[in-house]
Amino acid sequence: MKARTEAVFRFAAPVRVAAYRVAFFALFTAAFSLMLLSKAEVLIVERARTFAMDLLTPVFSAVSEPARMINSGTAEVHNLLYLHQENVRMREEIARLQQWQSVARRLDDENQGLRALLNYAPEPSWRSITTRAIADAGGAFVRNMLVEAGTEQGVSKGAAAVTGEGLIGRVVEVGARASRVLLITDLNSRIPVMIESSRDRAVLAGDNTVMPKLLYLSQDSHVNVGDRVVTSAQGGALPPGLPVGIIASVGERGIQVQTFADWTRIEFVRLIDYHLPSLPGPATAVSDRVPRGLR
Amino acid sequence: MTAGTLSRIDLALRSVTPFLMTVALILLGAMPLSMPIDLPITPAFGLMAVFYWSVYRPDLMPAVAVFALGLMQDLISGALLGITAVIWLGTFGIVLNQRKIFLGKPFAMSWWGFSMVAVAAGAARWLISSALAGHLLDAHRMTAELTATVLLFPLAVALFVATHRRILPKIA
Repeated sequence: MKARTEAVFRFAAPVRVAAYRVAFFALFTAAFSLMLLSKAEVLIVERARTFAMDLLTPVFSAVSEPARMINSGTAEVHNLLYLHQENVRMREEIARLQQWQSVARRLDDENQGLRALLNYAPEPSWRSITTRAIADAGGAFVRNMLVEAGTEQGVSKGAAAVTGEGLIGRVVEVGARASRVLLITDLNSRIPVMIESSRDRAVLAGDNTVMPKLLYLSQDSHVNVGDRVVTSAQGGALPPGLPVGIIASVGERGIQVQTFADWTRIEFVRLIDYHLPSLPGPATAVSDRVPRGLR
Repeated sequence: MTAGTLSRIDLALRSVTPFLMTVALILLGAMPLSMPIDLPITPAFGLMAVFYWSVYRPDLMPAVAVFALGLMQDLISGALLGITAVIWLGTFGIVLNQRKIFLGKPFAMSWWGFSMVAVAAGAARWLISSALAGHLLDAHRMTAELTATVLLFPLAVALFVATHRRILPKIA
Protein backbone atom coordinates (compact mmCIF):
# COMPACT_ATOMS: atom_id res chain seq x y z
CA MET A 1 0.00 0.00 0.00
CA LYS A 2 2.76 2.36 1.01
CA ALA A 3 4.76 1.61 -2.12
CA ARG A 4 1.72 2.33 -4.23
CA THR A 5 1.11 5.68 -2.59
CA GLU A 6 4.70 6.63 -3.19
CA ALA A 7 4.36 5.71 -6.85
CA VAL A 8 1.28 7.90 -7.16
CA PHE A 9 3.14 10.73 -5.50
CA ARG A 10 6.08 10.39 -7.84
CA PHE A 11 3.75 10.69 -10.78
CA ALA A 12 1.47 13.37 -9.28
CA ALA A 13 4.10 15.66 -7.80
CA PRO A 14 5.23 17.42 -11.02
CA VAL A 15 1.61 17.77 -12.14
CA ARG A 16 0.72 19.34 -8.82
CA VAL A 17 3.66 21.72 -8.94
CA ALA A 18 2.63 22.81 -12.45
CA ALA A 19 -0.98 23.26 -11.32
CA TYR A 20 0.19 25.40 -8.38
CA ARG A 21 2.26 27.57 -10.70
CA VAL A 22 -0.65 28.10 -13.08
CA ALA A 23 -2.98 28.92 -10.19
CA PHE A 24 -0.44 31.35 -8.73
CA PHE A 25 -0.01 33.23 -12.00
CA ALA A 26 -3.76 33.28 -12.60
CA LEU A 27 -4.29 34.84 -9.17
CA PHE A 28 -1.48 37.32 -9.68
CA THR A 29 -2.92 38.38 -13.04
CA ALA A 30 -6.39 38.62 -11.53
CA ALA A 31 -5.13 40.88 -8.73
CA PHE A 32 -3.25 43.05 -11.19
CA SER A 33 -6.23 43.43 -13.52
CA LEU A 34 -8.45 44.19 -10.56
CA MET A 35 -6.07 46.96 -9.55
CA LEU A 36 -6.28 48.57 -13.00
CA LEU A 37 -10.07 48.17 -13.06
CA SER A 38 -10.24 49.79 -9.66
CA LYS A 39 -8.12 52.69 -10.92
CA ALA A 40 -10.69 53.20 -13.68
CA GLU A 41 -13.34 53.56 -10.94
CA VAL A 42 -15.66 50.86 -12.13
CA LEU A 43 -19.00 50.88 -10.34
CA ILE A 44 -18.78 47.26 -9.29
CA VAL A 45 -15.58 47.94 -7.32
CA GLU A 46 -17.33 50.66 -5.38
CA ARG A 47 -20.28 48.33 -4.75
CA ALA A 48 -17.90 45.66 -3.47
CA ARG A 49 -16.30 48.16 -1.09
CA THR A 50 -19.64 49.37 0.21
CA PHE A 51 -20.77 45.77 0.71
CA ALA A 52 -17.59 44.85 2.62
CA MET A 53 -17.92 48.01 4.70
CA ASP A 54 -21.49 47.14 5.72
CA LEU A 55 -20.51 43.56 6.43
CA LEU A 56 -17.63 44.55 8.70
CA THR A 57 -19.33 47.43 10.51
CA PRO A 58 -20.58 45.29 13.43
CA VAL A 59 -17.10 43.82 13.85
CA PHE A 60 -15.41 47.22 13.83
CA SER A 61 -18.08 48.62 16.06
CA ALA A 62 -17.52 45.89 18.64
CA VAL A 63 -13.73 45.91 18.46
CA SER A 64 -13.42 49.70 18.50
CA GLU A 65 -15.05 49.71 21.96
CA PRO A 66 -11.97 48.39 23.81
CA ALA A 67 -9.76 50.58 21.61
CA ARG A 68 -11.81 53.55 22.74
CA MET A 69 -11.42 52.49 26.37
CA ILE A 70 -7.64 52.26 25.98
CA ASN A 71 -7.61 55.71 24.41
CA SER A 72 -9.72 57.29 27.13
CA GLY A 73 -7.60 55.53 29.76
CA THR A 74 -4.38 57.05 28.45
CA ALA A 75 -6.11 60.43 28.15
CA GLU A 76 -7.23 60.10 31.79
CA VAL A 77 -3.69 59.49 33.04
CA HIS A 78 -2.45 62.43 30.99
CA ASN A 79 -5.19 64.64 32.45
CA LEU A 80 -4.30 63.72 36.03
CA LEU A 81 -0.65 64.47 35.44
CA TYR A 82 -1.25 67.90 33.97
CA LEU A 83 -4.35 68.90 35.93
CA HIS A 84 -2.92 72.05 37.47
CA GLN A 85 -1.33 73.42 34.29
CA GLU A 86 -4.48 72.61 32.36
CA ASN A 87 -6.60 74.48 34.89
CA VAL A 88 -4.49 77.64 34.64
CA ARG A 89 -4.55 77.46 30.85
CA MET A 90 -8.33 76.98 30.83
CA ARG A 91 -8.91 80.02 33.06
CA GLU A 92 -6.89 82.20 30.73
CA GLU A 93 -8.70 80.73 27.75
CA ILE A 94 -12.11 81.39 29.29
CA ALA A 95 -11.23 85.01 29.99
CA ARG A 96 -10.06 85.44 26.42
CA LEU A 97 -13.09 83.71 24.95
CA GLN A 98 -15.52 85.76 27.01
CA GLN A 99 -14.22 88.85 25.30
CA TRP A 100 -14.64 87.16 21.95
CA GLN A 101 -18.16 86.10 22.89
CA SER A 102 -19.24 89.68 23.45
CA VAL A 103 -17.64 90.67 20.15
CA ALA A 104 -19.45 87.80 18.38
CA ARG A 105 -22.81 88.77 19.92
CA ARG A 106 -22.42 92.33 18.79
CA LEU A 107 -21.37 91.31 15.27
CA ASP A 108 -24.20 88.80 15.01
CA ASP A 109 -26.76 91.48 15.92
CA GLU A 110 -25.22 93.84 13.42
CA ASN A 111 -25.17 91.10 10.77
CA GLN A 112 -28.85 90.27 11.34
CA GLY A 113 -29.75 93.93 11.07
CA LEU A 114 -27.79 94.44 7.86
CA ARG A 115 -29.24 91.27 6.33
CA ALA A 116 -32.76 92.47 7.06
CA LEU A 117 -31.87 95.81 5.53
CA LEU A 118 -30.56 94.21 2.33
CA ASN A 119 -33.28 91.58 2.07
CA TYR A 120 -30.55 88.88 1.95
CA ALA A 121 -31.63 85.47 0.65
CA PRO A 122 -31.66 83.00 3.55
CA GLU A 123 -28.76 80.56 3.90
CA PRO A 124 -29.41 77.07 2.64
CA SER A 125 -30.27 74.62 5.37
CA TRP A 126 -27.79 72.20 6.91
CA ARG A 127 -28.48 68.77 8.25
CA SER A 128 -26.01 67.32 10.60
CA ILE A 129 -25.52 63.84 11.95
CA THR A 130 -23.05 63.06 14.69
CA THR A 131 -21.48 59.65 14.57
CA ARG A 132 -18.60 57.60 15.88
CA ALA A 133 -15.38 56.84 13.99
CA ILE A 134 -15.14 53.07 14.04
CA ALA A 135 -12.07 52.37 11.95
CA ASP A 136 -9.02 54.33 11.02
CA ALA A 137 -8.56 52.59 7.72
CA GLY A 138 -6.09 53.60 5.08
CA GLY A 139 -2.42 52.86 4.69
CA ALA A 140 0.79 54.49 3.64
CA PHE A 141 -0.79 56.09 0.59
CA VAL A 142 -4.47 56.36 1.53
CA ARG A 143 -6.06 58.31 4.32
CA ASN A 144 -9.64 57.56 5.21
CA MET A 145 -11.87 56.67 8.08
CA LEU A 146 -14.99 54.60 8.58
CA VAL A 147 -17.87 56.13 10.52
CA GLU A 148 -20.88 54.36 11.94
CA ALA A 149 -23.69 56.02 9.98
CA GLY A 150 -24.98 55.34 6.49
CA THR A 151 -28.06 55.77 4.32
CA GLU A 152 -30.23 54.45 7.17
CA GLN A 153 -29.18 57.45 9.24
CA GLY A 154 -29.58 59.83 6.30
CA VAL A 155 -25.96 60.27 5.27
CA SER A 156 -25.41 61.14 1.64
CA LYS A 157 -22.34 61.13 -0.55
CA GLY A 158 -20.36 64.36 -0.49
CA ALA A 159 -21.30 65.38 3.05
CA ALA A 160 -18.63 67.34 4.93
CA ALA A 161 -17.08 65.62 7.94
CA VAL A 162 -16.02 67.88 10.81
CA THR A 163 -14.80 67.51 14.36
CA GLY A 164 -14.95 70.16 17.05
CA GLU A 165 -11.76 71.67 15.67
CA GLY A 166 -12.54 71.80 11.97
CA LEU A 167 -13.03 70.03 8.66
CA ILE A 168 -11.49 66.57 8.38
CA GLY A 169 -12.84 65.30 5.06
CA ARG A 170 -15.80 64.37 2.90
CA VAL A 171 -17.97 61.29 2.62
CA VAL A 172 -17.02 59.30 -0.48
CA GLU A 173 -18.79 55.97 0.02
CA VAL A 174 -22.08 55.39 1.76
CA GLY A 175 -23.26 51.98 2.90
CA ALA A 176 -26.43 51.13 4.78
CA ARG A 177 -24.96 51.59 8.26
CA ALA A 178 -21.44 52.91 7.63
CA SER A 179 -19.68 55.44 5.44
CA ARG A 180 -16.14 56.11 4.38
CA VAL A 181 -14.74 59.60 4.89
CA LEU A 182 -11.87 60.60 2.60
CA LEU A 183 -9.61 62.74 4.79
CA ILE A 184 -8.31 66.08 3.53
CA THR A 185 -4.76 64.75 3.80
CA ASP A 186 -5.42 61.98 1.23
CA LEU A 187 -3.84 62.25 -2.20
CA ASN A 188 -7.20 62.34 -3.93
CA SER A 189 -8.81 64.97 -1.73
CA ARG A 190 -9.63 68.35 -3.33
CA ILE A 191 -11.59 70.85 -1.25
CA PRO A 192 -12.68 74.34 -2.37
CA VAL A 193 -11.40 76.77 0.26
CA MET A 194 -10.66 80.45 0.76
CA ILE A 195 -8.36 82.58 2.87
CA GLU A 196 -10.65 83.96 5.54
CA SER A 197 -9.29 87.51 5.69
CA SER A 198 -8.72 88.20 1.99
CA ARG A 199 -11.51 85.93 0.62
CA ASP A 200 -9.05 84.64 -2.01
CA ARG A 201 -10.21 81.29 -3.37
CA ALA A 202 -8.05 78.21 -3.70
CA VAL A 203 -8.20 74.43 -3.70
CA LEU A 204 -6.90 72.46 -0.75
CA ALA A 205 -5.15 69.36 -2.06
CA GLY A 206 -3.97 66.47 0.08
CA ASP A 207 -0.49 65.17 -0.68
CA ASN A 208 -0.14 62.27 1.75
CA THR A 209 1.58 64.40 4.40
CA VAL A 210 -0.07 65.84 7.51
CA MET A 211 -0.02 69.26 5.84
CA PRO A 212 -2.15 69.60 2.70
CA LYS A 213 -1.26 72.22 0.09
CA LEU A 214 -3.12 75.16 -1.40
CA LEU A 215 -3.43 75.05 -5.19
CA TYR A 216 -4.74 77.43 -7.83
CA LEU A 217 -4.44 80.53 -5.68
CA SER A 218 -4.54 83.59 -7.92
CA GLN A 219 -1.19 85.25 -8.69
CA ASP A 220 -1.96 88.62 -7.13
CA SER A 221 -3.18 87.28 -3.79
CA HIS A 222 -1.07 87.77 -0.70
CA VAL A 223 -0.89 84.90 1.71
CA ASN A 224 0.79 85.19 5.08
CA VAL A 225 1.78 82.53 7.53
CA GLY A 226 -0.93 82.34 10.17
CA ASP A 227 -3.86 83.25 7.88
CA ARG A 228 -6.95 81.16 8.53
CA VAL A 229 -8.24 78.88 5.78
CA VAL A 230 -11.96 78.08 5.66
CA THR A 231 -14.20 76.21 3.21
CA SER A 232 -15.76 78.18 0.39
CA ALA A 233 -19.19 77.64 -1.10
CA GLN A 234 -17.67 77.30 -4.55
CA GLY A 235 -19.26 74.37 -6.31
CA GLY A 236 -22.05 74.29 -3.77
CA ALA A 237 -20.75 71.15 -2.17
CA LEU A 238 -19.68 72.36 1.24
CA PRO A 239 -21.13 74.85 3.68
CA PRO A 240 -19.00 78.03 3.50
CA GLY A 241 -16.87 79.09 6.44
CA LEU A 242 -16.06 75.74 8.05
CA PRO A 243 -12.63 76.11 9.67
CA VAL A 244 -9.94 74.06 7.93
CA GLY A 245 -6.56 75.25 9.20
CA ILE A 246 -3.96 77.98 9.15
CA ILE A 247 -1.21 78.71 6.64
CA ALA A 248 1.92 77.08 8.05
CA SER A 249 4.48 77.94 5.43
CA VAL A 250 4.73 79.74 2.12
CA GLY A 251 7.73 78.78 0.03
CA GLU A 252 9.33 76.80 -2.70
CA ARG A 253 7.37 73.68 -1.89
CA GLY A 254 4.06 75.49 -2.17
CA ILE A 255 1.70 76.80 0.46
CA GLN A 256 1.24 74.33 3.30
CA VAL A 257 -1.75 74.33 5.59
CA GLN A 258 -1.63 73.16 9.20
CA THR A 259 -5.05 71.63 9.78
CA PHE A 260 -7.05 72.43 12.89
CA ALA A 261 -8.14 68.82 13.21
CA ASP A 262 -6.13 66.76 15.68
CA TRP A 263 -5.45 63.60 13.67
CA THR A 264 -4.24 61.68 16.68
CA ARG A 265 -7.59 61.53 18.45
CA ILE A 266 -10.73 61.59 16.37
CA GLU A 267 -13.57 59.88 18.16
CA PHE A 268 -16.77 61.56 17.06
CA VAL A 269 -17.42 63.07 13.68
CA ARG A 270 -20.21 65.37 12.57
CA LEU A 271 -21.41 64.86 9.00
CA ILE A 272 -22.94 67.95 7.46
CA ASP A 273 -25.25 67.69 4.50
CA TYR A 274 -25.49 70.94 2.64
CA HIS A 275 -28.16 71.62 0.08
CA LEU A 276 -28.44 74.67 -2.08
CA PRO A 277 -32.06 75.85 -2.23
CA SER A 278 -32.21 75.66 -6.02
CA LEU A 279 -31.06 72.06 -6.08
CA PRO A 280 -33.45 69.27 -5.25
CA GLY A 281 -32.45 67.53 -2.05
CA PRO A 282 -33.90 65.45 0.76
CA ALA A 283 -36.02 66.86 3.57
CA THR A 284 -34.45 69.84 5.26
CA ALA A 285 -35.40 69.09 8.85
CA VAL A 286 -32.48 68.69 11.19
CA SER A 287 -32.03 65.02 11.90
CA ASP A 288 -33.70 64.12 15.18
CA ARG A 289 -32.06 60.76 15.41
CA VAL A 290 -29.60 60.42 18.23
CA PRO A 291 -26.46 58.71 16.96
CA ARG A 292 -25.74 55.44 18.70
CA GLY A 293 -22.51 56.66 20.15
CA LEU A 294 -24.23 59.41 22.08
CA ARG A 295 -27.22 57.55 23.41
CA MET B 1 -21.50 12.26 15.66
CA THR B 2 -18.61 9.85 15.58
CA ALA B 3 -15.19 10.46 16.98
CA GLY B 4 -13.88 10.45 13.41
CA THR B 5 -16.09 13.35 12.35
CA LEU B 6 -15.15 15.29 15.45
CA SER B 7 -11.47 14.88 14.85
CA ARG B 8 -11.94 15.88 11.20
CA ILE B 9 -13.71 19.08 12.26
CA ASP B 10 -10.96 19.65 14.81
CA LEU B 11 -8.32 19.21 12.13
CA ALA B 12 -10.13 21.55 9.72
CA LEU B 13 -10.41 24.23 12.39
CA ARG B 14 -6.74 23.92 13.23
CA SER B 15 -5.83 24.15 9.55
CA VAL B 16 -7.64 27.44 9.00
CA THR B 17 -6.10 29.01 12.12
CA PRO B 18 -3.29 30.84 10.25
CA PHE B 19 -5.83 32.29 7.82
CA LEU B 20 -8.24 33.39 10.57
CA MET B 21 -5.39 34.82 12.62
CA THR B 22 -4.30 36.92 9.66
CA VAL B 23 -7.88 38.15 9.22
CA ALA B 24 -7.86 39.20 12.89
CA LEU B 25 -4.51 40.97 12.45
CA ILE B 26 -5.81 42.88 9.42
CA LEU B 27 -8.85 44.02 11.43
CA LEU B 28 -6.55 45.00 14.30
CA GLY B 29 -4.59 47.19 11.89
CA ALA B 30 -7.73 49.25 11.22
CA MET B 31 -8.47 50.08 14.84
CA PRO B 32 -8.75 53.79 15.62
CA LEU B 33 -6.03 53.77 18.29
CA SER B 34 -4.72 57.21 19.05
CA MET B 35 -1.00 57.61 18.58
CA PRO B 36 1.37 59.72 20.65
CA ILE B 37 2.78 61.22 17.45
CA ASP B 38 1.11 63.07 14.62
CA LEU B 39 1.67 60.39 12.06
CA PRO B 40 -0.81 57.52 12.28
CA ILE B 41 1.18 54.37 11.64
CA THR B 42 -0.23 50.99 10.74
CA PRO B 43 2.39 48.24 10.90
CA ALA B 44 1.89 45.71 8.11
CA PHE B 45 0.77 42.80 10.30
CA GLY B 46 -0.68 41.05 7.27
CA LEU B 47 2.70 41.00 5.54
CA MET B 48 4.31 39.47 8.64
CA ALA B 49 1.74 36.69 8.63
CA VAL B 50 2.12 36.03 4.91
CA PHE B 51 5.90 35.87 5.31
CA TYR B 52 5.88 33.59 8.35
CA TRP B 53 3.34 31.09 7.09
CA SER B 54 4.78 30.88 3.59
CA VAL B 55 8.19 30.08 5.08
CA TYR B 56 7.16 27.62 7.78
CA ARG B 57 3.76 26.21 6.80
CA PRO B 58 3.01 26.99 3.14
CA ASP B 59 0.52 24.10 3.17
CA LEU B 60 -1.72 26.20 5.45
CA MET B 61 -1.32 29.46 3.53
CA PRO B 62 -2.06 28.71 -0.14
CA ALA B 63 -1.93 31.38 -2.85
CA VAL B 64 -5.75 31.63 -2.84
CA ALA B 65 -5.68 32.55 0.85
CA VAL B 66 -3.01 35.21 0.25
CA PHE B 67 -5.10 36.62 -2.61
CA ALA B 68 -8.26 36.72 -0.46
CA LEU B 69 -6.41 38.33 2.47
CA GLY B 70 -4.90 40.97 0.19
CA LEU B 71 -8.32 41.82 -1.24
CA MET B 72 -9.76 42.03 2.25
CA GLN B 73 -7.01 44.42 3.30
CA ASP B 74 -7.74 46.64 0.28
CA LEU B 75 -11.49 46.61 0.84
CA ILE B 76 -10.97 47.76 4.42
CA SER B 77 -8.26 50.31 3.79
CA GLY B 78 -9.94 51.87 0.78
CA ALA B 79 -6.74 51.54 -1.21
CA LEU B 80 -6.88 50.55 -4.87
CA LEU B 81 -8.56 47.17 -4.89
CA GLY B 82 -5.94 44.55 -5.71
CA ILE B 83 -2.74 46.45 -4.91
CA THR B 84 -2.13 44.62 -1.64
CA ALA B 85 -3.13 41.32 -3.25
CA VAL B 86 -0.50 41.91 -5.95
CA ILE B 87 2.19 42.81 -3.42
CA TRP B 88 1.43 39.97 -1.02
CA LEU B 89 1.23 37.41 -3.83
CA GLY B 90 4.59 38.66 -5.10
CA THR B 91 6.02 38.32 -1.59
CA PHE B 92 4.51 34.87 -1.27
CA GLY B 93 5.96 33.75 -4.61
CA ILE B 94 9.48 34.96 -3.78
CA VAL B 95 9.47 33.66 -0.20
CA LEU B 96 8.15 30.27 -1.25
CA ASN B 97 11.05 29.89 -3.67
CA GLN B 98 13.65 30.95 -1.11
CA ARG B 99 12.17 29.42 2.05
CA LYS B 100 14.97 26.86 2.43
CA ILE B 101 17.32 29.71 3.35
CA PHE B 102 15.31 30.32 6.51
CA LEU B 103 14.33 26.80 7.56
CA GLY B 104 16.25 25.59 10.60
CA LYS B 105 18.28 28.80 10.81
CA PRO B 106 18.40 31.15 13.83
CA PHE B 107 15.68 33.76 14.17
CA ALA B 108 18.02 36.64 13.25
CA MET B 109 18.19 35.17 9.75
CA SER B 110 14.39 35.28 9.36
CA TRP B 111 14.30 38.78 10.77
CA TRP B 112 16.91 39.94 8.27
CA GLY B 113 15.05 38.17 5.46
CA PHE B 114 11.77 39.71 6.50
CA SER B 115 13.33 43.18 6.59
CA MET B 116 14.48 42.72 3.00
CA VAL B 117 11.04 41.50 1.97
CA ALA B 118 9.30 44.35 3.80
CA VAL B 119 11.52 46.94 2.12
CA ALA B 120 10.89 45.36 -1.29
CA ALA B 121 7.12 45.24 -0.63
CA GLY B 122 7.15 48.87 0.53
CA ALA B 123 9.13 49.97 -2.50
CA ALA B 124 6.72 48.08 -4.78
CA ARG B 125 3.72 49.78 -3.15
CA TRP B 126 5.38 53.17 -3.45
CA LEU B 127 6.24 52.60 -7.12
CA ILE B 128 2.79 51.29 -8.06
CA SER B 129 0.99 54.05 -6.15
CA SER B 130 3.27 56.69 -7.70
CA ALA B 131 2.80 55.27 -11.20
CA LEU B 132 -0.97 55.30 -10.81
CA ALA B 133 -0.98 58.79 -9.25
CA GLY B 134 1.20 60.12 -12.06
CA HIS B 135 3.91 61.63 -9.82
CA LEU B 136 6.30 60.51 -7.10
CA LEU B 137 4.52 60.35 -3.76
CA ASP B 138 5.73 61.48 -0.37
CA ALA B 139 7.18 58.40 1.31
CA HIS B 140 7.58 59.66 4.90
CA ARG B 141 4.75 57.64 6.27
CA MET B 142 5.77 54.62 4.26
CA THR B 143 9.25 54.72 5.84
CA ALA B 144 7.80 55.12 9.32
CA GLU B 145 5.49 52.17 8.73
CA LEU B 146 8.32 50.07 7.40
CA THR B 147 10.38 50.76 10.50
CA ALA B 148 7.47 49.89 12.78
CA THR B 149 6.78 46.73 10.77
CA VAL B 150 10.38 45.51 11.00
CA LEU B 151 10.63 46.34 14.72
CA LEU B 152 7.36 44.61 15.59
CA PHE B 153 8.16 41.46 13.59
CA PRO B 154 9.64 39.51 16.57
CA LEU B 155 6.47 40.17 18.58
CA ALA B 156 4.27 38.81 15.80
CA VAL B 157 6.59 35.84 15.34
CA ALA B 158 6.29 34.99 19.05
CA LEU B 159 2.53 34.79 18.52
CA PHE B 160 2.89 32.73 15.34
CA VAL B 161 5.35 30.31 16.95
CA ALA B 162 3.04 29.76 19.91
CA THR B 163 0.19 29.00 17.49
CA HIS B 164 2.46 26.87 15.37
CA ARG B 165 3.46 24.68 18.32
CA ARG B 166 0.17 24.38 20.18
CA ILE B 167 -2.66 24.57 17.69
CA LEU B 168 -1.57 23.63 14.21
CA PRO B 169 -1.88 20.06 12.93
CA LYS B 170 1.44 18.29 12.48
CA ILE B 171 2.65 17.74 8.94
CA ALA B 172 1.66 14.20 7.98
